[in-house]
Amino acid sequence: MSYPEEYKVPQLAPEDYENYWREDVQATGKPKQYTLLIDLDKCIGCKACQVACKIENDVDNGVFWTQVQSMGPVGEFPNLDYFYFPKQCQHCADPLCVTVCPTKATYKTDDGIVLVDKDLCFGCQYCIWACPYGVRTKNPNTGMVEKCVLCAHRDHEHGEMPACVVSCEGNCRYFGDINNPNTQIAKYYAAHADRAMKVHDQFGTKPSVIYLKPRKGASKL
Amino acid sequence: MRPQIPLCNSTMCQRMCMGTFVMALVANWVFGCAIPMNIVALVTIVILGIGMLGTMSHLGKPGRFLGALRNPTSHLSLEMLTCIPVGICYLIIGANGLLYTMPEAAMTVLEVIGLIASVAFIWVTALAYRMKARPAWDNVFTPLNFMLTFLSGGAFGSLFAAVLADGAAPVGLLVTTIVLFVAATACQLFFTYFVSRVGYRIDVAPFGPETRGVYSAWLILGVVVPIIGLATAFALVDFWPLFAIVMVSYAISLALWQAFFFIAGKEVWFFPQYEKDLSPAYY
Repeated sequence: MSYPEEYKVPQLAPEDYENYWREDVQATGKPKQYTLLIDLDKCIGCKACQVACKIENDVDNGVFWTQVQSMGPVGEFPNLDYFYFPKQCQHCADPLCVTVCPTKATYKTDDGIVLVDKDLCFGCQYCIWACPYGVRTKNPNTGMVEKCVLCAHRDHEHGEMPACVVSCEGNCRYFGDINNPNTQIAKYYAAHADRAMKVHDQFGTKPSVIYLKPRKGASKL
Repeated sequence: MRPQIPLCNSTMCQRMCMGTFVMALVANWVFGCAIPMNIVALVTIVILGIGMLGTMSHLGKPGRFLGALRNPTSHLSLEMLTCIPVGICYLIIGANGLLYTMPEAAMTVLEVIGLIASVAFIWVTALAYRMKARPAWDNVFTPLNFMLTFLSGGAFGSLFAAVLADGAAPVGLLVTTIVLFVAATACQLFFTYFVSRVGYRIDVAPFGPETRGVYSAWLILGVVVPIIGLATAFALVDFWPLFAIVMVSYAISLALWQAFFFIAGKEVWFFPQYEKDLSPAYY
């Protein structure tokens, strides 16, 4: 059994890290790419983001737009791995869900956010099959597919953040336009780019969400 | 992933019926059979309709079904689009001799269009399953399996139709059926080997706890019964119950195979280097 090597932090020169994320997202030609940066070093697994998302977006029972999952403990003491992993839509620069949706219900906005049009979705679940990240759910009550929308109803232009970012107790979540080097997310990324990690980059989806590897507790990442 | 029962059912209907249409044409043109294509087309439409109702039943909002024509980059949209010429051809061919009598040349043209459209439909259906998120499906065996089981199932159906129409199955059609059956089964066995070693921690053992029942049933109905049936067919070329049993057995095995295919189509683990799957935690 072989595992993909793409989970290892790429061995780039320091000056290349700054463009590591932007090259992919800028290639789509969208003027902006709002996205999240999640520093796994700081996530304490409190799940406040999960609760805040549910409340903010009135998410149904049994449906999750964001989830915090724990990995571990794995290994033998004293070499144990344990970290928390917040999971939500990756708002990919080249999303497979948009390509496969037969009704064009799933689409990517000019802000880079991937949304689902509830007037068009007919619940075929093809997007759920196609998503490599397992972040879409079919709502059993409405029959339609739902996922994280980065709180698109909030005024991002004037600094309003998604509920998960506002509620984060560990301050591990950052939000903004990764294409704009003057945003907090871009500056934080530039300062910690050596820990940056894309998930399942080999599928060509160009996930926009940036994860920063924890310094401890994830020796195999 | 869990087997999608309505889709297993519709897949079985599509491959058997459209395959029978295609192979019945081959039987008529190549082996001199006199299978009535209008009857084949009518039966195909009815069974395809049952399959389509099954497909719609797994939708969250079936009333928006026609919206699936919107996105030409989606293989589901292409399925819907190819369905239209298939349905039109089958309807016109089915009504020939009942509501009107068309000239032979026109019928031949329609049959050729129907054949091409049927093959195209099965092809785009196969491509719809080639998704990178499910490595077990993203390989050459997926479209090969679809096409070969489509032709093989159709060959069994056309054998049965030939016995009913002509009183006996032509040897040439029997040999063709054997060749297609062997090719389809070989491809299915290669797929089985592939998914048992696909990596990403999503290997599926065919006789493991989650697939043992379905896979064993497929082996019996889709391999053992057809082998016995084809072996005795040369001596019983005019015994239609034999061909009926083999056809029905193979048809059921297609649904079982599709169930195994769904179970094998697991999503990649987030971090396969760890022993815990962070993929869907809620279904």
